[in-house]
Amino acid sequence: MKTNSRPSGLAGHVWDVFVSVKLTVATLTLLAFTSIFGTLIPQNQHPADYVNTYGESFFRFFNVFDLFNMYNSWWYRLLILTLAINILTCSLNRLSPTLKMVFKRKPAFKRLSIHGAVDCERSARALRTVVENSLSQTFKKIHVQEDEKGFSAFAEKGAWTRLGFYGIHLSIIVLLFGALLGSIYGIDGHVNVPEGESAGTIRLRNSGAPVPLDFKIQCDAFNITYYKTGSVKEFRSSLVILDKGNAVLKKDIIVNDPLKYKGYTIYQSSYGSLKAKTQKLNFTNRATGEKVQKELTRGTPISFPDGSGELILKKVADNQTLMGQEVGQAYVCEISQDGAAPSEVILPTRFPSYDKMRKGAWILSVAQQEKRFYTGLAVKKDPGVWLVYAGFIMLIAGCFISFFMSHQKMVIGVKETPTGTHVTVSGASTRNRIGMKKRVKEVTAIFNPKEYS
Amino acid sequence: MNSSLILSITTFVYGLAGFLYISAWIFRKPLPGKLALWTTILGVMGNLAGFILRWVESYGAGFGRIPLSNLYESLVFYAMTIVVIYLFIEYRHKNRTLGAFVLPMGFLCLAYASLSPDMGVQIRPLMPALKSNWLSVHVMTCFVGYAAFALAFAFGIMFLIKERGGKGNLIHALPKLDTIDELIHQMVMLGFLFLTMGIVTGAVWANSAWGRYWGWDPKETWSLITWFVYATLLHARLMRGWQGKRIAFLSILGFGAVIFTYFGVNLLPGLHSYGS
Repeated sequence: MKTNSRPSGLAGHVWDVFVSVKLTVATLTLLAFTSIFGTLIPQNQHPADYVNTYGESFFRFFNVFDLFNMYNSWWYRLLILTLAINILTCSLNRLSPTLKMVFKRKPAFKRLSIHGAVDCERSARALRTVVENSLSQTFKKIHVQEDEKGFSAFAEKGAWTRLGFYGIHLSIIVLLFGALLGSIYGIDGHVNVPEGESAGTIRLRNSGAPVPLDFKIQCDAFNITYYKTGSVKEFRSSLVILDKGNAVLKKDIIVNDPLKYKGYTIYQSSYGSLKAKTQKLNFTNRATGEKVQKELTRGTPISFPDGSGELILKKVADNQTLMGQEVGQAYVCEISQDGAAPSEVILPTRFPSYDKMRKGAWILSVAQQEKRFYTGLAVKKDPGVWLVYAGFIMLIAGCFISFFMSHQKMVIGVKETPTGTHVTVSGASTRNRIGMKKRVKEVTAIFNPKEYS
Repeated sequence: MNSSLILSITTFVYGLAGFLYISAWIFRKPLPGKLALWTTILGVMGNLAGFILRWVESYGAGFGRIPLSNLYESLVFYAMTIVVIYLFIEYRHKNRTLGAFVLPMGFLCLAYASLSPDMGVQIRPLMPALKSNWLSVHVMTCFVGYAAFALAFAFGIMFLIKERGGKGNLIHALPKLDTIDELIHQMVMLGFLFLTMGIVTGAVWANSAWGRYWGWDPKETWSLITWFVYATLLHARLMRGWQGKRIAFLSILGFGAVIFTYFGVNLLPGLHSYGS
């Protein structure tokens, strides 16, 4: 498209590069092709993992091209920037012709690209209403221009749909700008809050740097509910926002239903259980049934209730295997009783009667402790997200308008001849040329003498 | 009668319909064509019934949810969408040779769902991340898009056959080249609009669940790659006047990207791995 937006000199040549659709096609193809690598190579892993997987030399090679964080690499950003400049230049380039076509519409009676013609016996005057009727089936307003030899009629509709182009293309700029805004001014943090406690500082996900909030997030409770099948149904954190010590907002959050406060959004992201600081052990006397509970810490020996021996907690195993079965958490202890060599005893937390099998005088079991959870919250702020959403709406609307609506024009010319009239029917459409061809054929047939004789 | 039985039967109904469409094309007789159409309509009704019944069954299992959350359920919806769009095109274009290319795809989709041994046919409740109103909108828009691209692919193949085929009767029965070309273009536009909506609804959903609208998860990235491929096709056609063979090739390449986005990504690690 030739317009007067093109600057002169060297700038003109640069302009020619950025205004070309070849560049668009090349950039899109390159983006599609290079994006594949980031899906095949896991991103943002620890360098050691890469060396393990790919070996030293491939690691170095990939690293030169930032393939381990490629969507943030200089060259990927350069491709996106190229696309953005390409879009802006093209948009600017066709701005004035588009605006003219949309807002300064003038009827043009020239023959259009799809056309047909027929000779008719009737006079121009008699055909006037036939022409107007045939056009008014499709168009609202019909312009007629008369001359000595006959007349021409022009009609169009949907000129505004040419703006769909701007919906699609500027939406990309708008959402890239929103993403840029978010990446500069956004905050992406995380905080773990134990049940019953509150937190006022989050840690950034990338750097781990602490960021103080001007309010506190308190977690009253964290609950997991399950389906009958055993899979997780819901993670729920009951949160309270404390602003200057006052509880200003109370809300239970679940995945897909976050809490918003002062520009921050707080998401349910993870959870965990806190290890109790002290462990407790039950001693049950096999003969008398007497029950004694004792606290123990790792490495410090405690004595049996009747002083017949000593016990040391060596470690708390997270997932112990006993006789080929995984039994979950278990205490691994060593007991030394009078006159016998020290022996190892394993006490699975979930099976308090397991130690009965040892046939000792005292049956040992781990005392059930109340589990305390912490909730893992993602705390985020993204000032660019509304721009991204605006871009999304423009993009969808633009695609719909450009793909399913069209700017249609028709011109019918009637010229008197010695035997009657010569009628030319022509049309143009930004989309669905086949439909327009059909319409031109239909309208031409109206003037065919065979049709009404 | 349960949903998976109905859907297994539907698989064979689609297979029969495909067979009838192919016979109608080869023998150029009106009867198998008519039979094919009615068999297809029967198949769609069975497909829809299976979909709805599975939805009802999930309530019986104690957790009502729309059946759009795993590979099996998505294939069922995908097959239905492909065939429904096809019926609309047959109605508009009155050419049944198209069915000989499309119905086998509907059949393959359902056959994969019904017959593959490691397919999760059991109805499972939704995991917390999937419990959102965005689920149905996101999955439906994506699959309408994928279905339109599947049809563009079928028409692309048809174009290439017609183009190289010479003057035989079989080739003659296919629609004119510029009609097929236009059909490819229309399907690509429909697919592009819906793929765009699928990506957008996915982004909005991700933002409401995790606070990020884009995370370069392999499925996200592959949907974007697919989007780039079809954007390239549209620019080549609308701005550089590409038509015919080259567009047919691009529509086939694009569908390759769709297939990888749909199935291949499950081989890669990422958030959407529950799709497998």
